[in-house]
Amino acid sequence: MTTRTTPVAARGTSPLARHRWAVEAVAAAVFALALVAYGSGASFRQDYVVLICTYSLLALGMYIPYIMSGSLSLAYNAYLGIGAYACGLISTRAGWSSLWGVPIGIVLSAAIAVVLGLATRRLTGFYLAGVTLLFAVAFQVFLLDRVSLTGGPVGMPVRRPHAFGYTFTRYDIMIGAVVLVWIVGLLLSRLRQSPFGVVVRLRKDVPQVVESSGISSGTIGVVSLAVGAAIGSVGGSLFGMMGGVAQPESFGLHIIFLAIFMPLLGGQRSPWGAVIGAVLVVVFTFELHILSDAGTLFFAIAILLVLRFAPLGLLGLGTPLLRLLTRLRMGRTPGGEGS
Amino acid sequence: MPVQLWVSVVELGCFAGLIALGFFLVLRGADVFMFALGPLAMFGAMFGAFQVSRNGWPLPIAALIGVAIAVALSGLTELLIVRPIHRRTGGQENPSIVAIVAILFALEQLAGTLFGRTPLPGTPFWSAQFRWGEAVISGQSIVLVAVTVLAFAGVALWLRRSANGRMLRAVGDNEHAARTLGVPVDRIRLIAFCLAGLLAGVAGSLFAAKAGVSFTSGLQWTLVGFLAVIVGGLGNVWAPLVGAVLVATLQTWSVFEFGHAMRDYLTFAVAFLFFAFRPKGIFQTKVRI
Repeated sequence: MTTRTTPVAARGTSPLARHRWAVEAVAAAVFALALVAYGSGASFRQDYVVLICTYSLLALGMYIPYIMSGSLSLAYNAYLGIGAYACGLISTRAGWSSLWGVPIGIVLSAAIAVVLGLATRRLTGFYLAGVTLLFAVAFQVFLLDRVSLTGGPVGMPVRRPHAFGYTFTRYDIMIGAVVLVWIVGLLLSRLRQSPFGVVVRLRKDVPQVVESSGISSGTIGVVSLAVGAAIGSVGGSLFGMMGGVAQPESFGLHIIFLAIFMPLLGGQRSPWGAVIGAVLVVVFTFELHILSDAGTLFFAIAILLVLRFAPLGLLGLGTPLLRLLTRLRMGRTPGGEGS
Repeated sequence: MPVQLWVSVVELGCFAGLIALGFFLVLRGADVFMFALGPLAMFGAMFGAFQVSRNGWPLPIAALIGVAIAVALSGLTELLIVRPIHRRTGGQENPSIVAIVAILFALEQLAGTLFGRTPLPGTPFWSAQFRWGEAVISGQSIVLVAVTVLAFAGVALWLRRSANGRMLRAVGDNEHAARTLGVPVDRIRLIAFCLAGLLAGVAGSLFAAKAGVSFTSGLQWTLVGFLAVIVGGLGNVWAPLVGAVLVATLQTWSVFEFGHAMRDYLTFAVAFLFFAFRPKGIFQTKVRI
């Protein structure tokens, strides 16, 4: 601890000072490499890895608005769908690279999140949940109904993305997906600890403090909803480009349910909890052959158990354990506190 | 719009009104939006329809047990899930919303698993048909209207006259103050949830005869009731009914003119416009200070 610079030492043992970025980045990178190694095998494994990444981005998209700033939006199936359909439309109609769909999806879904957030800005969270749920239902109907635009129930193809004359393979997309989750996870983790992140988190528990510091808590809420929607949309684009198709059934209401479930399951103290939740959901769905219908029942009961008995999620269960370990270590090396 | 469609408007309006009255009671009494009421209505109705069509139970018994199940599930939701979470988080709303949304999905899937994923036909309590001009009115719609009027009048009287009803309003306005004054907050909240479950159960079993019931009906029912509350507001016991009739008119008309997809777009648009311009609905609570 003697090597620490003064400002850090001045912050003492606050959680801000103890965060180890290098450790987090390396640990996540090791995990990412393991995923890539797994995905280098049979072709279906690449789909599997991309699905994990899509769900991770979905859960990470929930992290800022829901876990940090405390506003629950239920329109995530629409944000994912917008990302995927934007890639499909731009590649089949305009003939451009489907990569262009990514920024278009980001802007579109963020704009929708802003409008929905502004409309319910002065109301309690129940109303935001309600209006976003109505939007989610309307979006699903829209995908099925506007056959000329969306292709109806069969959906529409998404061409393989290309840039500078190079067409990306499925393997490339998988690597891109893993790297993307790694970057977004690290960025969110940094954001959580940054002054802005602290304000966002304060808004959830004590909005009065945020307001009295001259920061509009409503604006913070709307901004976080927009960022979350944008991240979700990127996940959708990824899913569409990998599968080569955008279909309504991929963006059904079960997506909403997974979106609120995954960050809670993994743990709220870190964005990586959201990623862990996503990995668990994919593994449980595919390895244990839980059908999607009964799977929702299984996950719904699981979320009630988590909310009731482990409110901090699985990472939260680790915290008391970690504290115990630290205490034991501190007992063994006298004077080593905070090292 | 043909006369017959106005009969549909009245039916849908009464049904949505009953669900909305359930939302109203839980909102006033526990300050929670009980999104799971639609699935509760669906669950009770599916139970009744399943027992009648598959096992040949007599309708009154099957319906009665269906309603009782809705009441019990609603009460258990408060006792086992919402109340402990409410206590632990000190009244934060997000964990409660998540829990209720999880119950919504759980009930939907549970009903699908138990009673099958195909729609079940409902059985009318009174299968008579009456001609009135060009319209045909079924005995079942008369029952539905009568029950709705009775339920609203009953709840209005109960809220004004009975001790529990007055305490319910007190708890909803300020739970902390009510507790300090010695109001049995826990009991009142439980009553609110059970009454809402009762209304939902009755509404579901009466409405199932009209178009049948399937495990996905629950979410639709929740959304139509939610919209009725948004449009009507919370200022008056009858406000949810006014909102429900307006929403039913809009939905029936839009389906008649433009088809089903437009109904869902318009539903969302109306909710959005009310949120943006009149977030507390048509009838607003007036507080004198």
